[in-house]
Amino acid sequence: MNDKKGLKKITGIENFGIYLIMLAFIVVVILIVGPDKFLNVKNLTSLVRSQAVICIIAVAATLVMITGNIDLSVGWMVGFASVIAAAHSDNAFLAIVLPIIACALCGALNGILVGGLKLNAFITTLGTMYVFEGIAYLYGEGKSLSGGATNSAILKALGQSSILFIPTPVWVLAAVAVIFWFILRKTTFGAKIYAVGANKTAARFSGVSPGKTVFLAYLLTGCAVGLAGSIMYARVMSTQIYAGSGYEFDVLSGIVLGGTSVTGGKGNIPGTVLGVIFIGILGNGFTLMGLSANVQYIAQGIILLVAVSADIMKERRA
Amino acid sequence: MKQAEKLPVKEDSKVVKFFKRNNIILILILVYAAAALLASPGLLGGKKNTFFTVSNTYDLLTLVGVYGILAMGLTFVFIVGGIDLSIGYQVAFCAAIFAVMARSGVNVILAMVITLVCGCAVGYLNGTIVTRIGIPPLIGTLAVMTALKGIVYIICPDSLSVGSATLAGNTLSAVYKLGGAITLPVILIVILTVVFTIFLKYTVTGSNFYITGGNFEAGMLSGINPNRLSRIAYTLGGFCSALCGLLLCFRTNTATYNMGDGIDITAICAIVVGGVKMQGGRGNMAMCIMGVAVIQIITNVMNKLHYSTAVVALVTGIVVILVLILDRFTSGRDVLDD
Repeated sequence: MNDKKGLKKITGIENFGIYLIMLAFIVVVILIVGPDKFLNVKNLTSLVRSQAVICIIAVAATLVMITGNIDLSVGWMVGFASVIAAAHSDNAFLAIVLPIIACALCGALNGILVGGLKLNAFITTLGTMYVFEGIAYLYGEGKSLSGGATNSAILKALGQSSILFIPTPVWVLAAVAVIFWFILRKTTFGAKIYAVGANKTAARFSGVSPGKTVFLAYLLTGCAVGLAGSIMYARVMSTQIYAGSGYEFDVLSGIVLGGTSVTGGKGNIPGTVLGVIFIGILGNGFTLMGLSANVQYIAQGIILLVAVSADIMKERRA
Repeated sequence: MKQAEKLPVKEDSKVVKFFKRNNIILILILVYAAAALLASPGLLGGKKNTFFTVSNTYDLLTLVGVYGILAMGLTFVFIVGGIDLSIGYQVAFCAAIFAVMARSGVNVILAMVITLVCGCAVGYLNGTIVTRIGIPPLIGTLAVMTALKGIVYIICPDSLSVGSATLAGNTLSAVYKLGGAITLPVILIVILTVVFTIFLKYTVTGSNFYITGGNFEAGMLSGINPNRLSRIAYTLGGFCSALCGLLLCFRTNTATYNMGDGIDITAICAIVVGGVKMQGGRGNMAMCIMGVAVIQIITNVMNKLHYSTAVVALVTGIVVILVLILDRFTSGRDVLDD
């Protein structure tokens, strides 16, 4: 008994168990790869640049997860957004604003179905995933998806330049993360999100409208996904309609590794960022070690299991 | 004392109630009729109706057979209140190990048995992760899916041909298409539907699946060990995936790494359209098969009418959402409300 109390006194560490496991993995990877190979500016910049898009989506989708719902349509949504950006690559304003508007509409559709009509989030967003896939193909087929000389300079800067040695997409990610962190932690809307996820009935009785809260969470996710789509195109100035397919599961893995609960009510933005970056470091490390992506998939699956079960064991003991 | 007057409560008749609970029957008839009508020469079909023909109906039955078997496994998992995201890669994994064994000259029957055992083992692993460690099914099976993806890509980097020249290849292809409507998938799905329906309805284990998914606590208190039942359900899911993998491998005599891509999502959508509840406790094999049939009819007719995959995806998605909305308004509110 006393031992347990002693352990509980250092709950600061107990709570960070999942992050410690990730940190341990990262240290091992770095040691195997060799610090000089991994920890150089070129490698780290390419690492964060490639993870920025998924990270922006994951940060936004964390909101939906905390409400106890899920968004599986983000993968095709971001592909759709990148195609819109490609079609308007000569005008930076349109290439950034149109994807955001389109994805906001997509998010609103999810929000109406899940929040308003109270349909099952998992199946509904699988359905809308198909819908967005269809729309993306209908819109994008036959369009040139890699910009030529007509690319807008601003758009290029958004995807490929660096400010103070840090790639611009990472600055955008930082801004999005801070905004969403602020929304979650410092506004009543954020408190409502946690309340709805923790106990919908209790939230309703205390005057929170779960439907409206869920709707807004999906809407905000849509907006962020649209922005991520622009960056996805701008990063390499070309895209594919199916470029984002499968992202939904990477996003989900990252969010869960970051300590967000799938049943809702628990989660945070910094954790999600760490979770996604962790997956990126893992992939990067494996590539540097000369191992194929296949081994990385196996490791990623095992780590997801280990990290989540460690979290569950800890909760059970508490 | 005057007796309290009975309030005029509007009771639905038995027929209406039945169709409200099983609206998939009406959906199936409607979709089939619409498909047959739309494909006719007067409307969208070109010179002749390519959908409403005998040979296409046979093809359709075979497709329902192959994908229906996969969906039946998922139905068990749904009934106990779980979800299995890994079935797609289970299919690819099982097909790949069968192909590897068949190529290296292992007896075909033995190879098939080993493949089915492997499928069950993966299913059991899923069940163990979910029930013993207590990881939410969505995350546990996502992790298994990711790991299986890596394993499949390693076993089968491109595509593995079983070899049509070999005895094994020849026999299997011959058995696969016996002729007419009688193909191996159709025979199997008929047998399995009967067996599984009897299992769910008339055995103690099967009927306890519904309690596990419907009310876990009550199951626990009445001493049925819902965790064990969940593991059985996941194992059956793995078995069905292995069977589907074998059938897909027989069809073309090859196993490819991307064999299972997307068929998991299609299976989930199909059984939900059929009326199997993701929250657990409701659903049966008939619903599952009809749901699969609806999705396959839509895909088939649109392919016959030469629509692009984009339109097929769009229509499938809209149908899934419409069925969910329909379900929301016809079934009792307890089903979908928290």
